[in-house]
Amino acid sequence: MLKGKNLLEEIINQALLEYQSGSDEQKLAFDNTELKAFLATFKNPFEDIKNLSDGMLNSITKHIDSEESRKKFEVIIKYIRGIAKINADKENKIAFSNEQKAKLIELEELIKKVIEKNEYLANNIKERSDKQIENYRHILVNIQNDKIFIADDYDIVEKIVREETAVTAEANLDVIFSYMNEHNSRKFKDLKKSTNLNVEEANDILESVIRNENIVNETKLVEAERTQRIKELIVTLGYNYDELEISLKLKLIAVKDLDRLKKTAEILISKNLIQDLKPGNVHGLVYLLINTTPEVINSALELLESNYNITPHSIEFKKIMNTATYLLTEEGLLNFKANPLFLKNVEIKKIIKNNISLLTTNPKKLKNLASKLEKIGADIDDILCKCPNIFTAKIEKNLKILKMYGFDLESFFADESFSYSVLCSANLDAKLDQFIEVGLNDYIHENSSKEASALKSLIVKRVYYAYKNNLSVWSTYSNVEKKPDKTSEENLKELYPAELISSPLPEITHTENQEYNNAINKSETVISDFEIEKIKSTYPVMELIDEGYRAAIYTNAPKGLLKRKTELVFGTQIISRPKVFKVFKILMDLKKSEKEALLYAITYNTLLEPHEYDFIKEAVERIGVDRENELFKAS
Amino acid sequence: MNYLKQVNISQEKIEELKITLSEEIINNLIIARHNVIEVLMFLKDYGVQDLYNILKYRPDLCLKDKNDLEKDLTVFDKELLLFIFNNSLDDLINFNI
Repeated sequence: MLKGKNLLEEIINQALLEYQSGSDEQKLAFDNTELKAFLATFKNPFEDIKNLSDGMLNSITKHIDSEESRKKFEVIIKYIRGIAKINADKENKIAFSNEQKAKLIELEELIKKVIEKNEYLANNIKERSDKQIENYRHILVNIQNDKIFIADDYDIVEKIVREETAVTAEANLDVIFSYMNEHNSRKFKDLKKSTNLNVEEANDILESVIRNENIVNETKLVEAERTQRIKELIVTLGYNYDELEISLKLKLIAVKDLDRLKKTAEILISKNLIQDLKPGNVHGLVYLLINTTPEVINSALELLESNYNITPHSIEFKKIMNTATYLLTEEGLLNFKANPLFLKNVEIKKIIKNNISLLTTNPKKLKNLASKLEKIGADIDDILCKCPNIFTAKIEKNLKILKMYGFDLESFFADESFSYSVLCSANLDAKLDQFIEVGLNDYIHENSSKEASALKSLIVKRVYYAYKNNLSVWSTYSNVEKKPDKTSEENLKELYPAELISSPLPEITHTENQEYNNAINKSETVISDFEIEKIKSTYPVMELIDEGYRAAIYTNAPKGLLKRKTELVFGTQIISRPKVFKVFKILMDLKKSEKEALLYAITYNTLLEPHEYDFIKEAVERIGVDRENELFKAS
Repeated sequence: MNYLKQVNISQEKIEELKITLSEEIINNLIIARHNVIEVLMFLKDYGVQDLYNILKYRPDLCLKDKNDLEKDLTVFDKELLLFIFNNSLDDLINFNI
C-alpha cells in the first residue's frame, strides 16, 4: 500500500515541481539560446571550440546516459579546447589528430540533438493546464490529509498517471489503485470501529462524505469569486492573471484581505507609479501589492520628496521601485528612516546609483560599522561618496588584515584618495603576501600617509600586467573556482598539450595539493600577533622558524618593526610571515604533519627557482627538536 | 532565489549564496529578480563567464540599473574589463566599477 502511495506522491510532486518552478522552461530556452549561438559561430570547429564554456558542456553532456562515457567525453573535449586556446595565441599551431576531429563532429551532432530534446521538453512542459495542476494539488491534499477517495478522484488519478508516466501507466495504475482501494477500505473500517456503526450508518457517512464534497464545492465557488476579483485587479494594473507564474498566483490567492490589495493597487494607479516599474517587472508589482499599504507608500513618497528631492517618475525613484522595492514596505521604510548614514549630508543619488542596497540595510549594522570606522578616523561622508560598497562588504576582516600587515589604519583613512576600494578585496592578505614576496613592502609603506593609494596603485598595476602578459593575477585567487575532483596533473593536461607536459615546467617547483589549496582558499582565518604567539607556543617548530628566519633588523625604527612583523627571509627569497603562520595553522587544523605543513606554508603561492625551493626544503628538514637531548636546532 | 536557475546557477550554488550573502542582499536579489536577470543576461552577452561569481562577490552590480552599468563599462577597454571580470573580479572595484 505504501508503495502505491509513494508512487502517486512522487508522480504528482515531480509534475508540480516542473510546473511551479517555471524556470525549467526558461532554463531550457536559455540553454538552447546559448547552444544555438555557439553552433552559429562554430564555423571552424577546431579553433571555435575554445568558445565552449564549462556550463554549456555540462548542459550537453548531461544527456549522455553512462556516467563513465560522460566524463570521458568531457575530458576529451576540454583537452581539445585547451589546445585550441593555446593555438589562438600561437603562430605555429598544434595540429589536431583525426580522432580529435571526429570528437568535434560528434560534439556538434550531440548539440543538435540536445537542442531538439530541449525544444520537445519545453513544449511538453507548456502542455499542463492550470486545471490539471489544480487537480494534481487536490489529489495531493487528499493523500496528505488521509481523506477518502471518491469516484471522481479515481478518474483524476488515472488521467494524471497516464499523462505523466505514459510508458508505464498500466503497471503504475495497478499499484496506485490498489493503494486507493485499501486506503478507502481502511478508512471505513476505522469509522465503523470508532463509532460502532452498522452498514447502514456507514453508508450514511459515505453520503455525508459526498455532501461534504458539495460543501467543498461551494467553498470552491467562493474561491473562484476571489480569484475573479484578483484577476480583475491584475488587469487594471496592466497584466493578465492567467499568464502569471503559478508562484505569483499562489501568493496573490493567499492574501486574506483583498480590500487592502485593492486599495494598494488603486494608489499605484492613481499616482501612476506603475509606469516607474520596468515593463515585465511583475514580480516587483506583486511584491508591492502584497507587502505594502497605501499609507506606507504615501509616507515613503513624502519622505523621499521632502528630504531628498526624489519624486515619482524621476530616474532615482524608478531605481528604487525596481531594485530597492523593499523601501516601500513598512519595515524597509523604517530601516531607511533610521539609517544613520542618511542623516548625514550625503548625496543620496550617488548611493542609489552605486549601491542601492544601502538604503534599506539594517540600521543597527550600519551604525556599528560607521562608529568603528569613525573611531579609526574615517570620514563616513567621504567613504559614502567615493566607495559606498565598503558598507556592504565584509571589511572588518580586511581592517584586521591591514593591521597585521603593518598598516596604520588612521593614516590609511587619512589618505584622501579613492583608495578605500582596496578594503572590498575578497583576499587582501593574499595580495599583500604577493607584494611582500616580490619585495614591494618598502614601496607600500614608504610614505605612511599614502599607504592606501600605494597599495591600490600596485593592485591596479598587477592586474594590468597580468592582463598584458596573459598571466594569472593572484595565482591562488579565491574567486577562481577550484575543481576539487581534479588533480594538478589533470588540470595541467587540460591547459597544455601533451608535448608540453612531458617537458619540465620550470616555475612549478613543488607539488600543489588541491585539498590544501581549497582549505586555504575557503578559510576565513585572519592571523594576528596574538594568534602567532599562540601558534609558536603550541608548535615549537614555528618558534624556531620565526627566530631563525625573521628579517635580521634589530631596531625600533618603523621600517625595522614592519619587516620583522611581516617578513621571513630564506637566503635571497622573502616570504610573507603572516602567510606562513596562517597556512600552517589551517593545515595543522587538517591534522597534517608539522614539517609538511610548514614546507607547504612557506612555499604556498610563491614562485621559486629550484635552488630557492631546495634551500627552503633543506631548512625545514633541518629544523626541529632533538627529543633525546632536548636540543633545539634552528638553522 | 530559485529563479537564478534561468541563468544556469545550480541549486547547490544558490544554497551557497544563501549562506554567503547578507540577509538584506538576499532579500533584494529576490525582490528585484527582473533587474537581476536583466543585468546577468547583459553581463553574459558582454562575455562574463561565471555569473555565480558576480552574485557572490559583486551582488551590488546585479542591483544596478543595466544602462548605468553599461555606461560604466565604456570607461575602460572591454578586453581588460573582461579579463578582470573573469580572472580577478574583486579588483573590478579598484577600477571604479
